[in-house]
Amino acid sequence: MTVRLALVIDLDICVGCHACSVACKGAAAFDDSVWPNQVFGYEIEGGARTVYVPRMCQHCESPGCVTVCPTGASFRRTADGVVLIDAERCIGCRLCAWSCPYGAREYDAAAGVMRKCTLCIDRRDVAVPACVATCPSGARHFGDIGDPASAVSELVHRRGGFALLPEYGPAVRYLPPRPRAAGLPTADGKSSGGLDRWIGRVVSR
Amino acid sequence: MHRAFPLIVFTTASGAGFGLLALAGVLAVGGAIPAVGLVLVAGGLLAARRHLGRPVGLLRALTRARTSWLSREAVAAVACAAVALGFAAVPQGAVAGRVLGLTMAVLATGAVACTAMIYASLRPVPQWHTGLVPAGFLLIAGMTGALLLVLLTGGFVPLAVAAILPAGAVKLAYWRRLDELSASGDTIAAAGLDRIGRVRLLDPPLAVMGSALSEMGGGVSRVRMLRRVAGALLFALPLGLSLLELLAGFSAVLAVAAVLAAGAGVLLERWLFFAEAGHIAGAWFDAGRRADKHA
Repeated sequence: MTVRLALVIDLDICVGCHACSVACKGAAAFDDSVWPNQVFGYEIEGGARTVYVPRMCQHCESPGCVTVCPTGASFRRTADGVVLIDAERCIGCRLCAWSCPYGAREYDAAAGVMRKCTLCIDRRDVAVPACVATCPSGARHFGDIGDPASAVSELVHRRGGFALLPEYGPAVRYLPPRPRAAGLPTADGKSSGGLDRWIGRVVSR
Repeated sequence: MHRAFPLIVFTTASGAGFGLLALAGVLAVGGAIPAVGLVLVAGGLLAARRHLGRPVGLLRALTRARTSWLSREAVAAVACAAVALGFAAVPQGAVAGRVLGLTMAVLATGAVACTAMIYASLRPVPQWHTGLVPAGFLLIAGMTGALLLVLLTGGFVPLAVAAILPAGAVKLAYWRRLDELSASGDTIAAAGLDRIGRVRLLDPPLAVMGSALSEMGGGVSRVRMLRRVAGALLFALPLGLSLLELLAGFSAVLAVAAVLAAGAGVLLERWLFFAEAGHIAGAWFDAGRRADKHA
């Protein structure tokens, strides 16, 4: 069985606090302009609901960024599927940034090389990536999605996790926002439960 | 907006240089002709070097020709330059000159094809992901090379006329395809974000887009006008001037005008090539901002 290290991100729990992005900046000594992890805040059309979507390298199975690299600086470790950049070999041509469908590669103007999420495997002092360790809501999980019995694989299976652009073979999985519980306000502003209406009437008297 | 100017200059100059080398090799024209081609290629490569963040490791770019079109381009360019030096050194008419000339032509064509494939192979840039890109790069390289050949030799005017027509036709087809793409595009789905829902951006993580997007796109205004200017400079004007030469005989003034018009035309056409391209990851920022056509 092939090991495939990956992040699993719970879009239901993520509150969009950007702690993951900040922890990532703290863990990696990149130029100020480089943000390997970024959190996008979206409103779902007609849903009166906000979803925060963290974006980072998806550690693809056969990554385009590795194929296009003219120097071999971009590579994928077969042992765990992590896609990395050897900054010593990188000439900063930025072709890998164009080849990445997720826009997950960042140019470090100070060093003249490309940067990306390493899943913190280059840090020997931690067991999980900095973003996972720091997430205050527990929305980020880290594990081996190559093993169907792993905790993250179980989680993805249970919650109906999905990949963004599966045709590119990403490792990262997102867990969809769960349906709103009955009784909470809906898009049209009305409460759905009878009890809520009753309490509302009582309170407004 | 940073428009990858080094790449615009590189593809324009090296395209014309390789075009000239290919024609010189096939037609067995020696002397100053391959020298001019080599100068254009070298000038283009120097411009391309400016696009790199850390050019010290440049030689390593020759090592990944098995997978990378950029590496293949570098290998083909270096090999072509080496053969061109040999071609310029041996006397024309000798068998060695013929062999070197044809080899040079194949390598020059290959170098332009590899340049084009760097762009055409990128799935996340739908505007570039088409066979019309290599066709256009090759035909425009041949066309600008032919115009230079006319200027430098005083002959081959019919060749230039024959080279302009297909190049113009392919470029028109490319622009028509762009219009069809922009009319049918669902960018949210293209970026995979439709899996979450019909999303509308509320809160971007950064004020500017990342590295993937800083060199292309950006919403050009007056695209149609700019295309018309590019088409006039690159195709209509050189065609008219060449036809005039066909009727009235070679004129250095007309030939210079044709080369200058085509050169400016390629620069504008390449600027548009980058400006009109869009990366699918742009949807992370664009989602809901403009009217996305639902499929």
